[in-house]
Amino acid sequence: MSTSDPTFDTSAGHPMLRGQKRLRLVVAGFALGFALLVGKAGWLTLVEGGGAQRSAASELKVRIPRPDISDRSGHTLAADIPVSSLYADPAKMIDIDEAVELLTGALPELDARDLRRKLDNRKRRFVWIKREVSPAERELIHNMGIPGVGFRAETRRIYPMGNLAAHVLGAVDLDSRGIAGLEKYLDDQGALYTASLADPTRAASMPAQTSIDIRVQHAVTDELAKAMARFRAKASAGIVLNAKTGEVLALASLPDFSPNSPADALKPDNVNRVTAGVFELGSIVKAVTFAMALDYGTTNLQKRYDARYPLVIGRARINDFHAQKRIMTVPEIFMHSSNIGTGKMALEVGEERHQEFLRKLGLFDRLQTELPEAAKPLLPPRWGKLVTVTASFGHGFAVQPMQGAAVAAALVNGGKLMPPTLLKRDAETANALAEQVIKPSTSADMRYLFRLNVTDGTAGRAGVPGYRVGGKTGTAEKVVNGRYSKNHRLTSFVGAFPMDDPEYVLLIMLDEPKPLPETFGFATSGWNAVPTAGKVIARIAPLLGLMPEFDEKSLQKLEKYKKDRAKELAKEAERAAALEAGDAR
Amino acid sequence: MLRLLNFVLVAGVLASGFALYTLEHNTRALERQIAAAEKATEGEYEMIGLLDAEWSMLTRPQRLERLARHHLNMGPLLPDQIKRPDDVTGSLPPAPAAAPGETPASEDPLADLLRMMQ
Repeated sequence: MSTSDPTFDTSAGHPMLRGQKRLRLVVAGFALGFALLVGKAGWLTLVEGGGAQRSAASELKVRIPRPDISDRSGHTLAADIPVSSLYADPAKMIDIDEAVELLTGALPELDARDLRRKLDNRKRRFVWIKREVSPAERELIHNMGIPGVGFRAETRRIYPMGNLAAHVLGAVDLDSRGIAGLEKYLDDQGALYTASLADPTRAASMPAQTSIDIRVQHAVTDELAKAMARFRAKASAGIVLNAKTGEVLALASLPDFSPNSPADALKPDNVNRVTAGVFELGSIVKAVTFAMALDYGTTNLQKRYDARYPLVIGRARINDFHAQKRIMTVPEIFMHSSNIGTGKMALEVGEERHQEFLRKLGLFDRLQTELPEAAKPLLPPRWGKLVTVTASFGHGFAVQPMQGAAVAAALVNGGKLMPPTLLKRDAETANALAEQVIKPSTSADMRYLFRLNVTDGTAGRAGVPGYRVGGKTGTAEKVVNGRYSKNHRLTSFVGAFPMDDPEYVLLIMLDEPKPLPETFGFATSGWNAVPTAGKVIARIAPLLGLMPEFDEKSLQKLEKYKKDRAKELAKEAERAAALEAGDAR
Repeated sequence: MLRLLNFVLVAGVLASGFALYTLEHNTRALERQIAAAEKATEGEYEMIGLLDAEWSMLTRPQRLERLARHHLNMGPLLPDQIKRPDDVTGSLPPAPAAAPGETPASEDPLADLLRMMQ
């Protein structure tokens, strides 16, 4: 039976009518189809398209983007710069001889034989030809149009300031991961945090801003380097702290390294002595003992102590370095740095309260700044009467120099101890973090003692007329082969300026300075660390915007100071010229 | 009737097709423009970063100190070289007295002073 024969088809009615029906069916079908398409298109554009995220083709990036690091006024200390690296795909190469010839022509440092060996291996699909090609070379090679040769975009971490502030910045390894210093700190906050600071378009990104002032950093580093060369010291360290906010303006530790060659960062001799090392700070700890005794009220500035005879505890005898052999007042004990007097003051306070006070100042705990390198204090295993006496003048317990500076800031700024930071911080935040450790009146007494020690005491050479410097010297004998050695010393100075309302705290430390003829064979702090501190202050006080103020006494000192300083500068210029002549040769 | 409808539909298809393609063409052009601008922006940012780093390298204090020692006839600052405005006013010449007949005290006393000193 055939449906094509209309005469036999009785069920479908009139053929013309049937054709029309079929047409309608087709039209309806098409209309439905188009309606679906229109609907879908409308849905996509109007509804889903509203919050269209245009997903850019994501490039596989092996290296994590890192934010720029800058100092407190915006000078770049670390930056990522884009570089291109040249690679080849030997399988796609047409004429290897020609490619080798062209490439060695463009990059003369390439070894032709080595390059040919690399490219001859047809099975490999990827070989590096040169990492970090300069833009000019890139342009040149690009224009040659060698098949099978391409560039890959990479970034490289550079530190434009070289060795300056190296210990603060740290370094990154080849894969752009922080291995030391703030770079490691950034990574420890999480890669996302690090990357968020370095938005690829950088439109919204801010550099990670440190509290370092690069000019101050340079002044401290430079003076430390000069002092080290002059006194043939093994190492040195310096800190400048804002006394009111706890911000670190400069942190120098010599010998240092260049973060541009990161392998040096991990060498043991280049360790950050300010936070990763602990030292017996010696007599500058006496300031802590004085503050303690004054704060507990067991002593006052008028009280007298008998320093005629050595202090005997059990079988130990405590002697004075600058023995006065007389009865001394509290300020005299401070100025002459008498161990006997300080020991007696600590005994009056008592062992229990002594420990409690040191704990309150955080000297028993590891201080953790942003820097991952942080050493634990070395404490005496048992605390007895003798330990209280030796600890009162800084023997027998070792802390980070950074802790010393932070505590010194608390002693002079009205008694507020705040954790030092390497990131920018304002006074409000600092006040919220601060802990009142001594009374403001005790702090005022300490300021008086510090200032007196510079005007009339052992720290005279740290004074800069007009800037009202105050401070305390320290000379610790180092432990060599388990005994205190008379010839291996660690000299230090901690001070603040201007003393009537201290803005900045400075700590200088020299490791094993040698005596010189012009220091009359002495190698104690007053002859090396203290004058170094004086030179640093003379350089940084104007940079920090401090106004010198003169009274009669400082005006008298000014003339002599100017003469001495002129002599020193002439000598320094001579040395620098000699050094430069040596370089030229 | 049907023919008219067909004609209208065909015309509609042609017109909308033309409109659509023009639109798409324009969109593509705009997209290219945006991509180019974005690339250029990124390039500029990269350049800014590069120049920043270079500036920082050129102004590093070690270098500035060396250059200053070499080329400037100056030494480090001494405390008594810093003066307050009050200290300076003492060394100024006395204010010019208005000569008889001349119009006294003009708008700009500093300019008068400079004129006097010449």
